[in-house]
Amino acid sequence: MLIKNKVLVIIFLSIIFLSFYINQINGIELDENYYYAKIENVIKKINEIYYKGIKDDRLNIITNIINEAILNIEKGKMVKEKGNLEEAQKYFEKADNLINEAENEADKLLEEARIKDQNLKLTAYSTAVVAAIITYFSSILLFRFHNYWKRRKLENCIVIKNEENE
Amino acid sequence: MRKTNNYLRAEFLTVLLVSLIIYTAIAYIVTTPRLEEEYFQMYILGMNKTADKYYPHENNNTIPLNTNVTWYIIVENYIRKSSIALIKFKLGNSTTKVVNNSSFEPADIPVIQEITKVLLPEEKWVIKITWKIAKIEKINELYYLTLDFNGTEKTIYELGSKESFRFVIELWTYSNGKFILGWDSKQGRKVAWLQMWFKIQS
Repeated sequence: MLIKNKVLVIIFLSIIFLSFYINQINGIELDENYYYAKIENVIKKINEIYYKGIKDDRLNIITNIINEAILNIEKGKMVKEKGNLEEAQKYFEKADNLINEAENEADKLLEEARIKDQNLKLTAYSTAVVAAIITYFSSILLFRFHNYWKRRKLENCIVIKNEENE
Repeated sequence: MRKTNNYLRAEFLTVLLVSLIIYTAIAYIVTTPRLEEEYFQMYILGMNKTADKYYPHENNNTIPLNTNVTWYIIVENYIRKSSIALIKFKLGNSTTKVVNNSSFEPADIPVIQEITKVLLPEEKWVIKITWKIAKIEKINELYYLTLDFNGTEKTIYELGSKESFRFVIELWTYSNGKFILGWDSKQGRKVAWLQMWFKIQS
């Protein structure tokens, strides 16, 4: 009876251990599409950064991290197809960390890009207003100068006419 | 006199308004990205990174056994945004179904290797491939090739009874949760693929 109970306890503990182990594996997503979808999100951020005017090496650093993540995803995919889930998990875990790192870097750069874009827009539109005001005053000045020049010409004509009459 | 002044004031205000509109339009154009044609460019170069010397022999595309062939596949991103690009190397023969440009169906032949990379706008991706035919077998009038592709893999393919084969190189991109052949752009779906014929020297 005692031996039977012991066996039952061992089986019970084994089931708990096995389910814990499976849960550990399931803790990391083993579907490569999940990681590609995550990468796609980071790429959307990279595109926004690019369009907001930051096109330097920092973007290359982020894409290099993503490319390393892709390598790990592909390795994980290959290992998974061969049935080695534990090793696949390691690759996917590494890929996940790299994607998170790239996303953090992208977030920082996006913040900077948004500020840069706001400043650019502010400068461009305020320059437009200032330029319009300058045009306004310069047109008044030009008009006055034109009037002055016309009047002077007219006055000269009158003086010449008077001299002729005299 | 006052009437004339009012008239002038109205004219100057018109100048102010018109110039404001023009300058604001210029500011908008400067700060807004322009829409241009979006495309990928893919081409292949020979061993010297020039458009020749694709094969070991000068005048024909026959590949002797165990002779290295080096090609450079160049992919350039002009779709004005970053993209996940996937290059698929496939092997077929003269009768295999290749890419359908209108229905966007990929070539229905075995994939030898896939390479994926994120490409930034205007980035040029150079992929060097070195391959050789390691073994040729003819069983029941069918050819079986064993390839050494980029030194990593040897694969045997059953390739029909003809001696003429071709590599098909397809460009795929990641779009809305999956890889698609070609790419989506504002001008519609586009496809880019290459094929390189070769004969075996048995």
